[in-house]
Amino acid sequence: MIPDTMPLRIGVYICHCGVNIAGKVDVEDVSEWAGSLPHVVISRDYKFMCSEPGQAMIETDVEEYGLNRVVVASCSPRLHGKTFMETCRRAGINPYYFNMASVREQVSWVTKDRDRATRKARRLVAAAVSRVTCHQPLTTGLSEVYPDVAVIGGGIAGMQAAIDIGNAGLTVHLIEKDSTIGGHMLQFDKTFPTLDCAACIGTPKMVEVAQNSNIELHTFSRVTEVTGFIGNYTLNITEKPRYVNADLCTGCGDCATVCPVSIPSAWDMGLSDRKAIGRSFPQAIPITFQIEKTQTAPCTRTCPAGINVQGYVQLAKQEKYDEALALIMEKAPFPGVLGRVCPHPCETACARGETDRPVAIRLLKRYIADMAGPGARPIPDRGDLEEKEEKIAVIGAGPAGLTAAYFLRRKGYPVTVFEASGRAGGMLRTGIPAYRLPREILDQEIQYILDHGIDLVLHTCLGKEMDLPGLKQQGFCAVYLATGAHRSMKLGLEGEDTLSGVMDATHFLKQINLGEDTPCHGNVLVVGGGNVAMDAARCARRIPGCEVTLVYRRTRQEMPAYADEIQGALQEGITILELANPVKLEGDQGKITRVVCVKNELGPPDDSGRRRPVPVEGSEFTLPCDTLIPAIGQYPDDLGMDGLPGIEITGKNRAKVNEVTFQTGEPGVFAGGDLVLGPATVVQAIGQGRAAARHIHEFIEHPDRFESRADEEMADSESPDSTGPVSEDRSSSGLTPEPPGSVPRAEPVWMDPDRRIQGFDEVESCLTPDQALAEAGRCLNCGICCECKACVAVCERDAIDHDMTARQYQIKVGSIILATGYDTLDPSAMTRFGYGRYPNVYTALEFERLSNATGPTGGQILLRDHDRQFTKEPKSVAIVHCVGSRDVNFHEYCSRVCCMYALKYTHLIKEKVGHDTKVYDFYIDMRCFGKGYEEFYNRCQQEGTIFIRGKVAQITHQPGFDGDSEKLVAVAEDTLMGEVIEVPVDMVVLCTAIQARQDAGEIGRVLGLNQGSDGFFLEEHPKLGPVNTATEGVFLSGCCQKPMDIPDTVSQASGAAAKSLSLAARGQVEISPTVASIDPDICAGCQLCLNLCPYGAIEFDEDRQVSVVNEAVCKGCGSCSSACPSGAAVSRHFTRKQMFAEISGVLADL
Amino acid sequence: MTQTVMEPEQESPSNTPSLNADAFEPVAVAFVCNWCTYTAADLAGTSRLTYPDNVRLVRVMCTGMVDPQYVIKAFLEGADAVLVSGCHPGDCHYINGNYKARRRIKLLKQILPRFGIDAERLRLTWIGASDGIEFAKTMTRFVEEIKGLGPCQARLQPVI
Amino acid sequence: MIASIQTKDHSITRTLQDFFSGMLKTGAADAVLVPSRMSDSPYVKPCLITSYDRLDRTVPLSPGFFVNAGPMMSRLTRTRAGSTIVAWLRPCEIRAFVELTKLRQGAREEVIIIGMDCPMALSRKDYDDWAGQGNEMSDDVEKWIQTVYQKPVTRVDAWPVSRACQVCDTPYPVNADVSVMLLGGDLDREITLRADTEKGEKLLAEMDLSEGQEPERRKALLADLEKDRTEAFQAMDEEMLTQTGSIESLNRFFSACVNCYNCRSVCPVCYCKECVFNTDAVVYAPTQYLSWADKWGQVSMPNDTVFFHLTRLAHIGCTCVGCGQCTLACPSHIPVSDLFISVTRNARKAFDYVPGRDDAEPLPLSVFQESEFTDIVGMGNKEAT
Repeated sequence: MIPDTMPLRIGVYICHCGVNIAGKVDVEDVSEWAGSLPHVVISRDYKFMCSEPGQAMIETDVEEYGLNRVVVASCSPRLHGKTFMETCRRAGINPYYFNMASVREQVSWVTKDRDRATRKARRLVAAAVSRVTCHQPLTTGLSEVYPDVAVIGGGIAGMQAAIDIGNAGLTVHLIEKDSTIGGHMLQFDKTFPTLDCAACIGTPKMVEVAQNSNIELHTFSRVTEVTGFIGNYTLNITEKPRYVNADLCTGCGDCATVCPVSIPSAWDMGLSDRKAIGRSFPQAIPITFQIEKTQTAPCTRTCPAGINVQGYVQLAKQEKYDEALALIMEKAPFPGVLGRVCPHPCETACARGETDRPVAIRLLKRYIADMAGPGARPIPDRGDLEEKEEKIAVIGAGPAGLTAAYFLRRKGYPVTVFEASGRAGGMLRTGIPAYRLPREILDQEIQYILDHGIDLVLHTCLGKEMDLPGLKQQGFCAVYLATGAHRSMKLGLEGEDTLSGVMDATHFLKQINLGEDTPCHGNVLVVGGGNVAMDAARCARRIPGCEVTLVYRRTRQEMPAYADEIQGALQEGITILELANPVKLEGDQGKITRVVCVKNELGPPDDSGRRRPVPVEGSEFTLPCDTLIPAIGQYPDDLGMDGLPGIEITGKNRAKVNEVTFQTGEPGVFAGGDLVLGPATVVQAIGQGRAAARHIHEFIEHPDRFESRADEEMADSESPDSTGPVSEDRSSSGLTPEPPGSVPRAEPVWMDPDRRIQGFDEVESCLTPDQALAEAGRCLNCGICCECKACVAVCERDAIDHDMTARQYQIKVGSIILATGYDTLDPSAMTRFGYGRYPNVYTALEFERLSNATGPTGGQILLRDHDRQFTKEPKSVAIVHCVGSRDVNFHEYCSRVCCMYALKYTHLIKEKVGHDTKVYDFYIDMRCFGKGYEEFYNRCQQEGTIFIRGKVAQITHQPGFDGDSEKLVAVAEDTLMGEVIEVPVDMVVLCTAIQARQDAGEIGRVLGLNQGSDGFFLEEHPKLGPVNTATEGVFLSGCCQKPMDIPDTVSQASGAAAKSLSLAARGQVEISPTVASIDPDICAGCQLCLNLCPYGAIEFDEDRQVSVVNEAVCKGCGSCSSACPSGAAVSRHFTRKQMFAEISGVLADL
Repeated sequence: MTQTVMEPEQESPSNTPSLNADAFEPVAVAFVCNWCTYTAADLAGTSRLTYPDNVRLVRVMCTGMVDPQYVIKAFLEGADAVLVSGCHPGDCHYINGNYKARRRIKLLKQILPRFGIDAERLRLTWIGASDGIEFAKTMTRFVEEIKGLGPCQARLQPVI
Repeated sequence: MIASIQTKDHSITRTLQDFFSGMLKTGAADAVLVPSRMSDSPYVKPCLITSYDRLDRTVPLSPGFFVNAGPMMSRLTRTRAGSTIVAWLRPCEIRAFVELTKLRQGAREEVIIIGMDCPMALSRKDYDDWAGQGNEMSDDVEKWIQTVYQKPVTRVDAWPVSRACQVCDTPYPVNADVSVMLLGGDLDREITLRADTEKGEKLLAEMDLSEGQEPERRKALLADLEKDRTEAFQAMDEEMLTQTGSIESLNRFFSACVNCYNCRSVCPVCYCKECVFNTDAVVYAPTQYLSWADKWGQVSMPNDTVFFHLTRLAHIGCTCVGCGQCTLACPSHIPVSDLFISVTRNARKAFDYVPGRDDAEPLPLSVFQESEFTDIVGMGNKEAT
């Protein structure tokens, strides 16, 4: 069947398009020939078919000849297709009964030979006619337009568009990814050619945006996804956390004054610093401050006790020792102890270690602990704590136990600590010698803990003087077991237990550290390579008359002891015997006299990764020995666990606990420290103690949901960013702290070895104040914000919330205006200009800041010395045009604004630095196309700037001579003189190219926009559709489309606003009828189409067993129709019949 | 960019073309997507880049719309070659139409050579909306290559 | 699990008939689909049988193969019927059904498929001839069975099996619930069956059969068959290349075609409800015919003959199961399947696709990857983008 029962009557119109088509195509011929085609009733050619009379001609013909199909052969349908469809509509023909042949773009403009052009034109016309006979009438549906508008990008373009729309009374969402609106324009100093200051004309716009009740501002936010279609878009927005509550912040800036962390200011192009908490510039809108955070610093993440390392280091830098101490005490009540004996995993993690050496964090902690005044450790008075009923027993007064007791007590619980020995401190006291940890420090810190009102019961050993059931009876609601690991491992040699003179390390150290007598004397052999072995050896060394030899089965490389310890031991004259271990003990009258050792060699690595020692046959040798101290490891004591079957003890005598809650099998009984870990470090014990305190509190507060919560936490701890708030996208300024130059690490003074061995005085000295300051200064602030919370303390409005997280939400709009602006080219790549190498080579944007009254120099144009400190004014300046523009290696295009702002610079320099300043302007061509631009050029010429026509080839430098400071030299060819010149100058300004945002591709994908080869967004038509895009309802404004100056940007922004407004005013949009449909009578229900549809626009109707297109969602891509073998699925206006007709047409014989 | 100079031809590029490569005037059909390649064609025009007139464009909304039947039809109607051209991977205006097209073309390239339609006569390219120059180059090269292949059988007798 | 059935009085047919009636009796099946004669005519068609006294007309292993049961299966399973059907299918019928299920034209849930080592088929003409011999057809059937399962054969007495069967590379059941392993079996004694799925296990269990094992000659025989048929296919492939290696010769190949579209209607994987060649898409304006005539001086009517076959090749290029029905159905005796089998078996290689191999294998044109076939993109296939 022929699509229309009515006989076909086709009118064909060939456009001359002036000479554009007629110049190449014999339009009369084509027209005459077209007249001979089937069904063609009338065929004409005319100068401009798109013109008024041209369209009128069609309308009258429709009337006169009763046409029911129209074909126009002219330009591209993408240009005038709609125009003529409208014409048809007016003439009373369904617009889809129209077809177009592109004989300009596809023929006259691209074909050399006239005959051939004419023939191709005939062909295309034939095809168009053949196709139009198969066209079918389509009616466009209507859909409501959602009146709100979204503007993406808060620069001058975005602000202008938003204001225009807001003023028209519509709600407009202004979405800016930065923390303030304003954009590049607000970074500028003056604006050409009128020289009014950017701030003076820019800030009022910002204020207007802020005050316009129709404008909803979404700063620090990004559009992550866009769905829907023209008139009906949904935007997913993600707002990054500012960590400052916008509703509360008054912008007073108190926080910034106390913030210890400085970072280069992105707003000042890194020419000045800002604080981690701050804002781009004083006039920022919103005024809300914002905190720069990247992920938690590695030191803090590594600390087993979770101490905010970067935080206290920064506070130390500010000499705020009390605050620093308080920050440490939040997590660990033993600052002085840790400052001395912590194995400092933080230093291993310290990023500084990658460039030179890690920050001496432990020493800084000690410094803080030693410096902090007495006021730094306030004892809460009775009453400060909200006293609780539930009694808690802590068993073991070691670091774990005391820490748990401390935090529980601070929560208000009555805590009793039971200690088996006569002194509190556990291993800190019995294990660690005084020369490493002076007793007064230990006593002081333990006392401080006890002073919180914690009962300490000594000489009470679990399983002997008391047991768990007993504690329950005494009404303790929870028990924390932290009895440590005090039992030494045995060598397993005969006589070990019988011969006198053999004593294990823990006993020996206990005797020494508690000041008891020790039988240790003469030739002392210490066996082992761990820290305990070192302690034992060094203690023995301090006993008059002892010669100490340390026997270790592997070599020093494999020793688990810390390097300092081994070093110290050697300095103190201890012999280290590597690759040997005792195999036989020889005694005389029950007293040890000799030890037979065997030599080892290193075999293959064992599971610990260290090479296993292998005894060498017949290498036995004998050592004289009066005292043998095995120090090959410890394990926990047996516990009197009788009566509490719930508590499970593992092979190594350790207590088994839930790894999240630290609760043993017995409800209410928790355990931690070495008892759980086996011999571990102080800082781990402290970490466990605090965690236990938290969970015991939880257990008492909510016994019901305790277990379940534990599981949740378990799940969390498995999730990647369990190490606290970690997210790559938290830093808004692209700038991170500059890579450091090498600065030597602070070293403590060590007591002279000879004096050391005289006694047990502390061997390591505290840092000097200067050392400490310098050392704290070495911190790189990896996390940017150090979360020292100093800001929280000073903020009177309590506006600061360090736990703020990103917010995701949706908005609904009818149209979208894209105003994402531009980036400036980074000239570092063009090494010949020496940017980054010479301190006085600036980029344009840097110069704007330099010259800006709110900039780093308060508007003075100054030179920098080699430390990049601003010094004096330049006597001569070279301005280099086209840096990266009009350059095939970078951007072929002209950035359009450089010539003009270069002129502006020449003027500003003359004005600010003085008219005697020599200003050389190296240009290729002066492009002063705008209103008042040429005049401005003339004015600058009169101001005495030296204009040199020629591109600068390179910037070199020459040392200063007779008092004159060193100069930069601009080498260029003066193309007017035709000679190479070298101009010595103090300062060089590079007019860097405008380029597309480096993340333009991202937002492009989100919105379905293409970028041109230059990276800028592709407009619908370069001339007639500069603000429209391929995606209906999405408009462009400003530099995201192409480089343009402020006047053009503002006009285009208003243009885009007008587009959005007219769309909203229309209230309805036509939904293109050229979408897919599926004929239910033909559909076999195979659902191939359903799976191929990129928009999920096809559903399967189970009742009828056929697929159905949702026309509102379908975008007409034709994935379905091409996959449907039966042709049940049809793309309207691209039906098989129509395609066949066109194919036959283009291939028909002429 | 290469500007191509065409010999003014002697006879119309229709039936009974001589097999002499110089005189042989190929006829080709290009199914091009509205958003990328057709736009590029317009750009080539606006930029006045000349290229051989032997290729006739058939505009589709997306290469994913090209039914293998269209390609077969074109050959049976006497095309010496067929080009399908759309957006670069990742740029498809309809997200992934070009990927679907690629599979279909692959299938056709498996079948058509069985019947003497050289796989080289069926081409698939990605030409972005801003690649006006690339478009002209492609057209020129396409035509040169078909000339090398000579006329396609189906053009010489009616199998339609 | 492998089971075996004792052969009853030397008749495989009888034995299988009893096997089926057993299913109906025990209720293991509510219905069986088996090739059967409707009257005393020699022609067999798949029949859905629910009453076991109807089973005596069934011919489970017949050289007659005039309908591919694949589409019949989809008719029976398009929507749930709530009863269990046991279908006795040739390998190519199973393949067809598997492809159809991928196209949502049927479902396996309610059917139990018994596939058998293929007895092959005769061309229509030869079958008439073969069936015309002696009126007691069952003897001939038994003879046929005894011959085709003992060694690789391409003919039985005077009758060559159809070309499609001669080149079939999968003459044994794939994707069946139960496989009947006849090749190389001592059929006079027993028939061995292997359960390939749980359903199959269940069925055989319900029939409580004795333990059996795969005929030990079977594997070797299958290997021989594969070898012969690969050679046969290559021969046919080359033949096709010489006969249809150009559009011109393809045109000649189909010159006898009268666009009756029988090949399409019998094709088990041509699943369209309405063929695109029956739609308005190929109804051309009179002027179009004239313009074609102008171009070449003539145009055959009806036209679109080659277009029709090429389109069908594009449509079933990956799914053709090689059953040969199109050839059997062609009134003009065009060896359609010879062409389709050789073209499609080569074409689908590109997608590493084999029809009927795996229900989970997606149809090649229903999926795509971001980076694949990049070699076919670009001019001269050099500047692949």
